Amino acid sequence: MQKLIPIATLTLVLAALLIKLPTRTIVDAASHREAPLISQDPLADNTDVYAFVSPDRPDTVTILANYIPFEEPSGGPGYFRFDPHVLYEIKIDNTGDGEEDVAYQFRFKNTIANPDTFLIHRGPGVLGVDSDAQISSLNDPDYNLKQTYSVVRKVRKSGTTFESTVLGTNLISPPPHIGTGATPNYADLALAAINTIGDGIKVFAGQRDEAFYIDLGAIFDRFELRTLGVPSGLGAPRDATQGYNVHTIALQIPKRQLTNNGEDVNISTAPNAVIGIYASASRRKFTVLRGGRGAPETAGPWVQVSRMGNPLVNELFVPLKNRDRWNATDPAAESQFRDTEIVTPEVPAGLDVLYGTNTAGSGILVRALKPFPTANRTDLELVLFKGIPVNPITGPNYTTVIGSDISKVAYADLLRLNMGISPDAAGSGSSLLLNNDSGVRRLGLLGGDMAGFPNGRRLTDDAVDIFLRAAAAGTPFSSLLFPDFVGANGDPNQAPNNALSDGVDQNAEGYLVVKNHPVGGVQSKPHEFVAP
Amino acid sequence: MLVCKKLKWSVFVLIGMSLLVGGLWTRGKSFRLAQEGKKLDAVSQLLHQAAPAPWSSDLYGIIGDACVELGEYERAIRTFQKMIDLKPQLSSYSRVSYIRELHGDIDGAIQAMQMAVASGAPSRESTAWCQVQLGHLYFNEGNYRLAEQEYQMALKHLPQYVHALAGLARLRMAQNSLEEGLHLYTRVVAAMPLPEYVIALGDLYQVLGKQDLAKQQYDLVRAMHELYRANGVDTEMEMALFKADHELNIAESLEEAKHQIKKQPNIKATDVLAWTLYKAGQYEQAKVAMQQALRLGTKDPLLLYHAGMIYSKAGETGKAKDYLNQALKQNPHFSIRYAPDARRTLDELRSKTPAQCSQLSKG
Repeated sequence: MQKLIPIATLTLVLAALLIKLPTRTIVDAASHREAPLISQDPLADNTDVYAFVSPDRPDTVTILANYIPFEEPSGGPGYFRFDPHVLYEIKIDNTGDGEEDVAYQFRFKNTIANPDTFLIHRGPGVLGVDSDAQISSLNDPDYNLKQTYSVVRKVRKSGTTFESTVLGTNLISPPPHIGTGATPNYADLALAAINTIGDGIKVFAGQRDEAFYIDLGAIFDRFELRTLGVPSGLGAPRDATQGYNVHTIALQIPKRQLTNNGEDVNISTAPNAVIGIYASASRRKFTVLRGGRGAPETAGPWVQVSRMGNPLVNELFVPLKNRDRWNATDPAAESQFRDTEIVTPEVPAGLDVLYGTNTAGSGILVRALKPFPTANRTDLELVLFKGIPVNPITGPNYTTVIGSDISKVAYADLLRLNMGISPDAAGSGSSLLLNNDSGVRRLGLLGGDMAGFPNGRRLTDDAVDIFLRAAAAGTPFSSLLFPDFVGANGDPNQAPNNALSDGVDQNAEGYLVVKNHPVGGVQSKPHEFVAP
Repeated sequence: MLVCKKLKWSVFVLIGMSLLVGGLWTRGKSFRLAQEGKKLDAVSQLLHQAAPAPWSSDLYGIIGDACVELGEYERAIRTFQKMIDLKPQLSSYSRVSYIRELHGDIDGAIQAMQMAVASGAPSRESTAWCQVQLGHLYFNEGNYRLAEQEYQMALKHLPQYVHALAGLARLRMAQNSLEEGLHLYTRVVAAMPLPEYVIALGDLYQVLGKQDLAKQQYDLVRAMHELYRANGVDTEMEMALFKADHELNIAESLEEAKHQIKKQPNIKATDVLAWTLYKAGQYEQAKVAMQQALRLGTKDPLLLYHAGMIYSKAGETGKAKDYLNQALKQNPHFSIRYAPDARRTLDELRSKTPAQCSQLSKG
């Protein structure tokens, strides 16, 4: 009797047809061999850039460039690490033309001591005899899949000529925080990975806790702000990045190595006081068909695939159609995006629909008294793309203009830091204490903190709330500088504008206490797989 | 009005996506051309219209994929170059690899696919997919050790990944570990009964002498073919080759192959036509088609085997031996079904005198 074709198999085939399974076949001559089309490239993805005058060494600045979003702590056996095929860079503009004058280049290398195991924490030899499969120090032979890196500094001499200096090679990056089994005493392990290179520069590259805090789900679900009761029935605000890790490149550099005249900064209004910072990641391209056979192809030119200066610009100002191009463009060429970025940014319009004066919806606890300013946000443009000049509102000692002549600065997305403003500047309060201290200032300039965003960016600065309020009601100097400016009630800190918040005010894990660590102000140790 | 049903659905999806995101809605000339049956012109026009619009690397990828399916290789090369120029990453590296593979640059394909794997995030399906493709590249040049390594790495990062299991299954067959191959293929087919996996399982049963079980798989393939056709999905290449080898109604297969090549004149469809012509006994035409199929210089053992058999029947013994030899040298066990046939034919050709060879071709 002829056996019937298994019904189960036929059903599967039918189901496959209905959902139009892509057929990727193992035979070379396939009719469907389309490669994946996911434009995510997490290993080369900038997540955040922080910059501030170091509270522990005020003659230096600390710059943190974070990459690789949403690292799952239990992500074995592969785990996350920097990509040896990516060029990671931190760039500084100290002349105001949008082009980097000093750049730090990081290249990573992986070495495997024992290729016969899949464990990244087991060295050669017999397990239990030669190897305890524990990484107790950076030089532990059980640190099997070890990542090392080099740091090269490039300084612009003139035009397109740079002077290159190798600051360090074979610096060790700590292993990921696997757990108390494989990586006991992780805090000490990471601490040992802080190196001193060059002339008084401290450097670290490795996994840390994700310090950016945001109620991500609610915010991007059409600007739901749980604190405003919109929509009702949602739970309490939660930090969506809590429990995840990130990879951080941290530098602590003497100020005079970043100024445009090689000298220290004496006052905050000096022409050498302000620098513009951004971080990037680049990958090599090559030609589709190779020219000569046998020619190695991995040495094509670098293409920038990600960049970041100010927080949230890429996410909230750059429309989808410009994303790839924006990421590939240098800040010096920023003005080509101006029309879509700033002239009518989307977020204020969105907020206006939901929380503005014309909103008819119910359940909103707070409604603005005046319409949100939605068009022609030259005030936001000033903060993010130009720099704030000295003005009566912020006083004679405050500016974020590089070179101090605003008529000469380029339009560019750079994180601008005034190295002449002390981290304990009047109104800034103590910096970088552990969380749970309700006195921690987090609103930057909007909260009267001269040493916070948009003057650099501290780990504690609440970029989300700052942006929500600035989008809705402008900045303290908006009305002064732009007489036609009409903010929703005019002052970000007055009711009801001060209700605008995603409800998440701090990072749960806090930060490394400044005084105990030479690199003041880094994220806490990364999470291991055990629930925090 | 907007939908041209006769287009292969997958190509339509590809074109549709690129049109949608390019913001174009077609009307007028392009669709009149389509309705007149000049589908290739219509699609080329659509592609041309969409070309200035792509604003993301991914869009170039979609268009490039469509070009490859349509056999527009020059255009595919230009499009993928734009894709990688804008954003070098896994999705562009892997496409560059495929183009190089099609043009016979296996080393270059391997290098590019290694870059794709290296730039993939851990434990993602896209990374595992690239590892499997890299494994196939190694397999096709007979490097079984490195092929194994890639398949196993894919499984470490994505346990049970069906395409990695299928790669291992084929490898085991090549290594003559037939029981293990059977075990793996059974798992694969249970999870994802793609035509070529079902065919491979059937072939394996055949080789093991389990005729009833082989027939079961082959009947399933036939049923799948009918189901696909009834749902407007064109015959997969593997199924077309299967029909040519198994079916008695070769005339119908030939019609299908000729129909297919009009819509998608790529080298794979051309190979199907060549093989079907060969099975129909039309050797001279098969030769012409085979030359077309090999026009890019693809070093695929299966294509080389087809060429060898065709040239053998067409009386060109020298070329036949070259092709068969090349196929077997590249990967001695490229197919559990066809590699033995290639070996047998090569031995026969080598043992015959020139006079006997020409006698052979006339028979």
